[in-house]
Amino acid sequence: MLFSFEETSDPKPSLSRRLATLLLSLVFALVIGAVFMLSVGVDPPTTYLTMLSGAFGSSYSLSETLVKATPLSFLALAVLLPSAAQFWNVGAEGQYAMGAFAGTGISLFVAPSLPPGLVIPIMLVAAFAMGAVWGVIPALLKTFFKANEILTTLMMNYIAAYWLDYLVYTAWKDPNGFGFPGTAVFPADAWIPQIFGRMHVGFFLVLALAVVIWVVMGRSRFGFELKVMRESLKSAYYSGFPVARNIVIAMVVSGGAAALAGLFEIAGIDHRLQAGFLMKYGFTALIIAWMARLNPLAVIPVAILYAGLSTGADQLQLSMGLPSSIATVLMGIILVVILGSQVLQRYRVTLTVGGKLWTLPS
Amino acid sequence: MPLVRMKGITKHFGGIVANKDISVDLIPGEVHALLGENGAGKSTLISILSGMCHPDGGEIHIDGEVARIHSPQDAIARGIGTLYQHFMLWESLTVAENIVLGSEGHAVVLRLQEVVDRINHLSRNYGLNVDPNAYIWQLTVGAQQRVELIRILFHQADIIILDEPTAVLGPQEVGSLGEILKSLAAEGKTILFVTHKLDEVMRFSHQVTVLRDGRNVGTFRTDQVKPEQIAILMVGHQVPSAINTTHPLGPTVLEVSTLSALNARGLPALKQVSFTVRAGEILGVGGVEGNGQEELASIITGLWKSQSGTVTLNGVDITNASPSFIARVMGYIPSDRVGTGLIPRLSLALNTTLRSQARRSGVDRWLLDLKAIRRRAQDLIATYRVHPSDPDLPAHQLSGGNQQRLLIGREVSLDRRLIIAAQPTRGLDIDATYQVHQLFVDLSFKQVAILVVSTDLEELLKICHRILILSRGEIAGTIDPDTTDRTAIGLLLAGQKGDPRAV
Repeated sequence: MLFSFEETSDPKPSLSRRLATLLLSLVFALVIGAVFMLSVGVDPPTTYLTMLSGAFGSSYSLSETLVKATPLSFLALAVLLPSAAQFWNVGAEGQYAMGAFAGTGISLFVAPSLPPGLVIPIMLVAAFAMGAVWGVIPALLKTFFKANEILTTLMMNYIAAYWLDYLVYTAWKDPNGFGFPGTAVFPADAWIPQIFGRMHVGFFLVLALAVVIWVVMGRSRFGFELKVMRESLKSAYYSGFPVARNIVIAMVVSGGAAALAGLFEIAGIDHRLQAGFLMKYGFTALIIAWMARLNPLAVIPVAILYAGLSTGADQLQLSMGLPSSIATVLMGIILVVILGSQVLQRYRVTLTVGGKLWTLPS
Repeated sequence: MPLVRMKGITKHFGGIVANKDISVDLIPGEVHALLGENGAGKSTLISILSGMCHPDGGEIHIDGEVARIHSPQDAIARGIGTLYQHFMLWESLTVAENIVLGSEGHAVVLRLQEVVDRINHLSRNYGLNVDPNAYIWQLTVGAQQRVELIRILFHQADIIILDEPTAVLGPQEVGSLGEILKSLAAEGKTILFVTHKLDEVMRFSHQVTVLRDGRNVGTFRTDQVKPEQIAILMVGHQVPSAINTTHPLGPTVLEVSTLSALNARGLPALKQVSFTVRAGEILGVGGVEGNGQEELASIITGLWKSQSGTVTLNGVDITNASPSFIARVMGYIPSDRVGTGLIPRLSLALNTTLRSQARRSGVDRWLLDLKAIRRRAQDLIATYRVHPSDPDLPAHQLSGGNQQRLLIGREVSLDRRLIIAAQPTRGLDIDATYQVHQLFVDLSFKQVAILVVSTDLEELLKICHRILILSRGEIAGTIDPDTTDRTAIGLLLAGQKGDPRAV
């Protein structure tokens, strides 16, 4: 038995081929997932159906899925934009936290003295600016001191996380909160309107952001310069592109977008900042960005899928009493299979057994 | 009686025909040369024969019967051994260990001593001069190549394919490889030897097949054909040898004065270098590689910083100016053609917009006008005869000569008064080299100042008005191509300071 790989001649696989591989690998992943479920003594069809209805089966579950998909999409877009220039923002989590921090500060201390219509716009601006600052610091450290951005963005996550802890446990703790770690509930002016269940306008904003980033990456000079920077930094310098400035701009937008996700979470859903606010969405977003193959439009469906798996898993726990970690395992399987399936897009794989040939894709 | 018959081999890659109806017969006891320019289809043909890719049409017969070669393993089973340009050797293992690791299906317990004995035997028989107990990292490139040959012989291959084996060798090693090939043939092996160098064909082969544009344009007995005949077949037309560079020179365009710089390791790379280039002049910078040439080009083009001294362009001080400023004032053809000059995975169209960020090239302050970019790329492709001509192809699908024409075309189309070119014809074949030279000469007629950095002295002698020889970061001397004799040049290259004929 022998596998052989031949590089396919078309450099860019067609959309239909990409979709076909994606579908095939999803099916394949579900099959592997089923084998896994059987091995732990769970009936795969019921489990899958429960998850499906838990994720998309009712208007309630659908809205909950979209509620989860919103921050994931924002954060995945935040990861994706600078990565187009080979700048790896592992700090989306921290920028998300700082967005929540800025929004909380405005709504608790500034909002009462503002005209009601201005509260939310100012919260948006403040959150974006705070996230941009948090994102630009590693960009500057990289351009001036050649500090590795993976380390700096990662470490700044911890600063942000402990800062939030400090706020909710001591400085900004609600004096009337019965000792519960969290701020007071925001004034009503600072509540971002919910539209469909708990789903708020942030979802539409992230859709728009995805389209904008897609256009910027595909059609703008800035996007082209980022692409050149990813392919070859030497080429970017040679072409006279403002390499440092582009990284800074990308990180301003990236940090800002991540911070908006944090703001929408507290102003659209929780209406206060509480302990346990950080859910490691920033890292999940890395996975989503990669599964979307760094395509901003693909980020949205992938984030919805991921969110659906997660709400579906909650349903598993509720109605079947199963650990929701089954969904985590399933997600892992899907990720590995999809990333592995990319081989099929670039190579024609031939399997030879005893003189017979099977070729994929044929 | 041929041992291998390739009949009507055809292979397409996307829309490109790599091999079209090629038939070649290989006879035992003979060295068969496969000659052609870059992109003529040589590599495709041998990867078909060695099982690396499958033909779209045609058949391969070995020993009179149809051979289906679907994988490199099939090829090995058929007695075909291939020597690739890139060696597949583990640096940290010995010769014998490398050869054992490549031989699956042998005893589970490695009988290393047996292997060592066989290697010694093969090495003696064919004059390969390989020590089985040497570590790969200790060996020169030529010796590593002989280890690969031993591996092929170890697998008892009767048919040996060599993919441009001389590309990595120095002149002496080329000679001894030729002798080895002849002695292998004398022992009855069938040898297919791929090259684009005519003199190697004439020296080492019994038969030669010439490929051009994916077709077999002729197979000859080497002793019955003249090199000129083959050259014309290979290139498709006659290549003129002399280039005319006599025209009046204009005012000074580039002035470099007492320039000093360190290299990437912090050691002095340039010491007090001064020279000028006038409009319409082609100035060569030669010398043994690593004597400051690369740093000089990088400093002028803003990609490296000098310690002291000045660079002025048309009287304006541009010393250590930013790359984005430089990109607007001079053309630059970097030695790193693919990776810096062009981006391999981007389309030809997008590659033509690098460095040329003017509205007319389809790059606005904010947006890309993809239609305009494509149109302009098509113009460039047509003007500079880039082939294949599809502007949507990624640049890595082009041969070196075509990549270079696209790159030069882009830089020339910027209409700068100064062009810096580093190693402009490295790796290009005869015809492509000539075209690059002709482009430079045409530009110099239009009063463009050109600085050519090249380790190929013949090239500089052919096209330059003056040549500076850099040695240990200093100008060791200036050569006038018309009057300086070869001995003086040799002395200069060796680092002897002097000014044989002041220009």
